[in-house]
Parts: sequence; C-alpha cells; structure tokens
Amino acid sequence: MKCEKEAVLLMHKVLDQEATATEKLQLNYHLKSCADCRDYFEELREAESFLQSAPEVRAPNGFTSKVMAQLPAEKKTVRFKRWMKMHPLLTAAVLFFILMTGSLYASWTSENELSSLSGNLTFDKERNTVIVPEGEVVRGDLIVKNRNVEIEGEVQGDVVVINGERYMASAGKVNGKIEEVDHIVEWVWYQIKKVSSDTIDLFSSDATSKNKVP
Amino acid sequence: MDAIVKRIIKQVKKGDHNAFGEIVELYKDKVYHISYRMLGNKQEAEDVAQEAFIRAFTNIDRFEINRKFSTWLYRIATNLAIDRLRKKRPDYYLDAEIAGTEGLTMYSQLAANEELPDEKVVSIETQQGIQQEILNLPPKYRSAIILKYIQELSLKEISEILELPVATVKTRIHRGREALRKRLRNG
Repeated sequence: MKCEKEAVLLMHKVLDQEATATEKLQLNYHLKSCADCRDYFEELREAESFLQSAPEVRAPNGFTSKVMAQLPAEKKTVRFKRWMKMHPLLTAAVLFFILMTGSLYASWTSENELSSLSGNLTFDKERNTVIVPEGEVVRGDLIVKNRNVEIEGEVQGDVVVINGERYMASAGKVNGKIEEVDHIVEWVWYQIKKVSSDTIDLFSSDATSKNKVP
Repeated sequence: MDAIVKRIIKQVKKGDHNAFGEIVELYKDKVYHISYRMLGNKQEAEDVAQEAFIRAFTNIDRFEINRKFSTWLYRIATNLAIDRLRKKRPDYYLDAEIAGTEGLTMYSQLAANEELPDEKVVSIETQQGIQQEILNLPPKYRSAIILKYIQELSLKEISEILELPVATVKTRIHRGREALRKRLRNG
C-alpha cells in the first residue's frame, strides 16, 4: 500500500474522534479513490466493533462480603458512632445511665461530709472518726459520710453512717433510727428514699401552708 | 453520582467499613471487568479485584478527595493486574503427572464438558474469542485497549489511570487496534 502512513494516521485520528471536519472530508475523499485504504479502514472499524461487542462481565456473587471480610479492623470510635446513629433511644438510655451512676458515684466518694444540727462534736483524725463526746447532746439528725462515728453522748434524732463504721459506747444513746450505708447499692437506695421523703415533705409543707391561709 | 461518592469517601476516610461496602457495591463490576479482561481467568480476576479494593481501603488517606475516585481505583486495579501478569509463569501443565498418583494427569481434574444449548455455545465462543484476542495483545496495549473499548473511558482519563501522557496512550491504542486488525484479517 503506497499511501499507508499518512492515511493510516488520519484513520486513527478519525477513530479517536479527534479529527477536524476538514480531516474527515480529506479521509473520505481519499477512501473513495483508494480501495486498499478503504479495506484497511473497514478492518480497523471491525476491530473496534469487535472489542465493543465484548459482553458485560459481572463480579461473582459474594464479592463484596469477601472484600469486607479482608479489611483491616475498623477504628473503634467509628463503630461506636455508627452504633449510636442506629440506636438513638438506646444511646440516650446508656448516656443517662452513665451520667446517673457517675453523679451517684461522685457523691458517694467525693466530699467527706458531716452534718448535724447542733451540739459539739470532736474529730479524731488518726482514726478518721467523729466522736459525740460523753455528756454531749446532739439535737437533730447526725449524718456522717466517709468517716467512722463513735457515740458516747446522746443524739436526739437519726444517725446515718455512710461508708463508715459506727461504734456505740455503752453510755451512748440515739433516740431515732440508726442507719449504716456501706454499699453503693444501699447508697442509691438511700438517695432515692431521701429524695422521695423530701418530696413528700415538700408536698405536706405545701399542704400545711395552704391550710394556714385564712 | 460524584457528590454521593465524595460523601461516602469522606466517611471511609474516617475508617467507616460500612461506607466502604457501598463503594465496593458501586464499582465491583467495573473493577472485576478490568481485571478479568486483563488476566482472562476468573479466579485470578477475582483475586486481583478484591486486592484492588483492599488496597484502596488501606490507602484511602492518600486519595485526594477532589480527584475522581474511579480513576484512582482503576489505576490500582490495572497496576495489580499488570504486576500479576509479570509474575505469571505456567505453574503446571495439564499433562503433567499429579504427585502421589500413578499416571493421573491434570486432565482428570477438569470438569466434564456439559452439553449446552446451541445458542449458548455460540455466545460463549464469541465471548472467548474476544477474550482470546484481548489476551493476545501485549499487556502495554491491552490495558489501554480495555480502558478505551471495554470501559469506554476518555483518552484523558486513560492517561490519568495509566499515568502516561495522552500521546503515549493514543499510540498504544493505535498499535492495539492495528494488532487486532491484523489478527482478525488472518483469522
């Protein structure tokens, strides 16, 4: 074939859809007059359509799960976040539970609290013990937290010992109830009882104030 | 489509497996198709396609979000397929005796030829014919031809996938077309 090089380049340019209108005309014009090039171009187009007739091939079944099974472990935070998105109600419940326990635990351990309404108390630092001295009278409830308590005198009210121990001297006297709270569960229960009795108090005081209105 | 892919990729970058599952679903056929046409063997094609996705996942940090994801993914797949072709040597021959047997060859391990309906035979034959012709092309031209005619990608995209100048891609496609033309004329 004489005209090969130039014509063939043009053919490929046309097949690549990069030929200008003039170049296309130029090729067409040439093909009309040259049978060899006409055949050649026809064969190239056949090769193209042969390739284009290749059927679609689909990935085999279970392909995605096989890939997923081989991925390196997922970052925990991501899994956690996705879980939260999928279970908003459970997330709220868990969050509530965490905060609840957190605050309860904090109030269980944090401050060393001592409350009583009146009366002189002494505190033995070494033994971490609050002492109601002999002959002393405490009016009201005595609540001791994270300390031991030793009662030699008299308490005219309830004694509550939280996370501590209680010693009663033979001369000691408690008029109200004695309660010892040693475990977190009991502490929770105690808090609930306290809250509910406070609420009841609130209501009853409300009631009395109402009654007082003439 | 691109916006959706971009959003999913952002999740994948955070390490989200499930988001990557969506990516696999979107591109598995195309990636498998490329590797099947490159290798001409279903098992190897599946291995390479899976490997391509796993590489994409583990290297997702290197992918720039503003680029086209498919280009990047196809590049990984094509490179893996080319690597596989380079390493490929015939490990065994059908008429070699199987170790520990007497006179038993690999031929006995082949599935029996099942009777197929005529039409099916024809379509499988043309399919195998096309695949065979593609495999006859040197790998250099093969990848360019596959991306151009099987995946119907633009020359610019092919040049990005193969990391070659557009002019080189053109030359390879031209040579591939020429090689195929000659074979089809003789066949």
